[in-house]
Amino acid sequence: MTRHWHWFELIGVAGLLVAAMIAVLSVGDISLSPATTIRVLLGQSSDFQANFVIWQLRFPRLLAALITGSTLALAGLLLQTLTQNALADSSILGINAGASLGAVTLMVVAGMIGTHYTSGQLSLAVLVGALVSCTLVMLVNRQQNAIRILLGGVALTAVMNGFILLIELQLNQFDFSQALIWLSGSFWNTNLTFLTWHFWLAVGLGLATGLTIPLLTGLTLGPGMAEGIGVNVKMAQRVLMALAIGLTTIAVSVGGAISFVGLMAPNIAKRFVGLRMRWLVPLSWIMGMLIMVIAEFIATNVLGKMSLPVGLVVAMITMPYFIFQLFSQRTTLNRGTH
Amino acid sequence: MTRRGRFNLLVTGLLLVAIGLDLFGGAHWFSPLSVISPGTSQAVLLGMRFPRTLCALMVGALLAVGGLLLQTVSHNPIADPSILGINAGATLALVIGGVSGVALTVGHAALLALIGAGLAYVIVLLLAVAGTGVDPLRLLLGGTVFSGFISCLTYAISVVTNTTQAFRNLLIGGFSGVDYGQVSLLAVATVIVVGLTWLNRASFTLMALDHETFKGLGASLPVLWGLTTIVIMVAAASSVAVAGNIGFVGLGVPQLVNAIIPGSFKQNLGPTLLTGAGFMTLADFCVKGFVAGTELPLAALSAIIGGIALFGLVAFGQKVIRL
Repeated sequence: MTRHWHWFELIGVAGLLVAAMIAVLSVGDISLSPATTIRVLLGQSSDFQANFVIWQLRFPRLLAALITGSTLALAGLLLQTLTQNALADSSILGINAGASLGAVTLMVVAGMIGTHYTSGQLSLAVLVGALVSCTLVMLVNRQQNAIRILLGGVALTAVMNGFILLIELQLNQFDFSQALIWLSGSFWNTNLTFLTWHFWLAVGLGLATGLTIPLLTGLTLGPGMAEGIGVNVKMAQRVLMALAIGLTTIAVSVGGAISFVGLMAPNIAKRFVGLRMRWLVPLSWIMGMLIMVIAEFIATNVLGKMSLPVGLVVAMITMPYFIFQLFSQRTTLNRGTH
Repeated sequence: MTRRGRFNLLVTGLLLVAIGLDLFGGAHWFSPLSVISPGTSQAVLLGMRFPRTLCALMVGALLAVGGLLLQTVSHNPIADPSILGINAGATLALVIGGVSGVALTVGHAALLALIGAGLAYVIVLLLAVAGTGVDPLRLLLGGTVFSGFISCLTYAISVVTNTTQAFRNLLIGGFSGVDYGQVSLLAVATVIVVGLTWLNRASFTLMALDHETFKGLGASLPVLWGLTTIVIMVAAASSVAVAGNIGFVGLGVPQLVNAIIPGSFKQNLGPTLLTGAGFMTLADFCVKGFVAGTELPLAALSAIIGGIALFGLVAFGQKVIRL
């Protein structure tokens, strides 16, 4: 019975995602009918304008939304399971900000030497940044206090953001919006090759996360029980942490430090399917994409001709959700994902 | 000489050095003698450098005292008005006002900032009360995220109306372009804040004790909380109205002072005030002096320093955070 029900939920949310994707592709300054959009996507339309609008303008941003949403959601779920903390997420732990600082540093250094950086170097810089802040925040985790580690992450974010602001404004005194890309997230590079490359990486790591479902299930029982049922806890934690950092690296390379999607997606998914990882992983994955696609839709359409950085929209959706979760959860926090 | 005496002497010395550096140093260094010789140098010093240094001194003192007071009365060593979103609220109100066409004169700015700070304070308190009661760490975490949320709202409004440049000082903090109007606003605020805390220093010191003792000694909690609210509002609003959204100073400075000379509120009020003033003046000197021709974002500098302090407290302060 419940199993069938979960299938319905999964398919329902996936349906919503498809609808939202078509909406993002159709609606805008130049509106297209959903039928036209689908025809263009299937390569059945020779309308030059429709093809241009969709493939050149809207599709790259949609792809970026899908990449960031899926990776952040999975990274969030992994971190929540690892830290046994339902409010954990790569952005509140400061990993996003560190990764962003890595990217910004690379850009400055490349600018000073006068060379161009490659997409691979960018990913490497982002990865190093993510690793540094992850190591720092895990220093706080030794104290095993759920709120404390989050506060440590927030402090780390403040420091990293300070450096980002300092560097960005040094590059360009008068362009505060440029700094915002890395502070709060934005799809800064809509080059299709760049995005496709990251898309396949995201899919790969997503599938890898799917393979770790048994490990995740084991860890939700707590380290002791997990050991009892034969999970190598140390090993599992390392693998999952590496996955989480890899996923975050992809997300930040594409979209900067987007906040709290990794918190919101798994938590909403949990309301539907509970803690069964078999359902939670795929549903969180879809939910993350849905949140980002909706945010992209709002960012480009709600204010008419003006478009907002997508990160700001995400922040305005997810931050109230975080506060709501924080103050409404009385006891669940310290028991982590149970 | 006691440790406390030595510290006070040291801080006063540093404060004087900071004032000297900030007044005469920067993109262009002036000779101290040019104050008394009429000319362009004198005009620049008196018209620009002097008000700027005064503002930095007072904003630093206000933020530090506000932080110390909040930490004392909330029994929470990592509380700070900026962490609870009060400074961000004031910034948002100023940006909304500016965008909707209010001329941001000193008076208007102060009023708007007060309204914004007040609203943010009320919302944070409601959140705390509606949820789990005042669990200090949870309140701080919620407050920081709330603060981030308001900042994002501010950025969004500013980006949409294409005014990031116009509100640059407000968004990233700084003292460039302050004049004597702002100096007088801060002077009034400083008199209110320092006056109220100084007059009630004995009672505030008692508030640091546990609830029962405090009541037994006959002090009135509601009155003191009211005073605390006024002091914090005035301190946060006036500093944001002049120098923009600078966070974390109220957190780091009182902590630093208390780490070097542990003491009660009464004992540490003076040293904290001096240290805050000195810190901000020195920060202002760094902002304009480090890279010639540009102003570094003061908000970034204070976030880096304060963020490191907060991180250290959270990561290593086993005993510091009483739960």
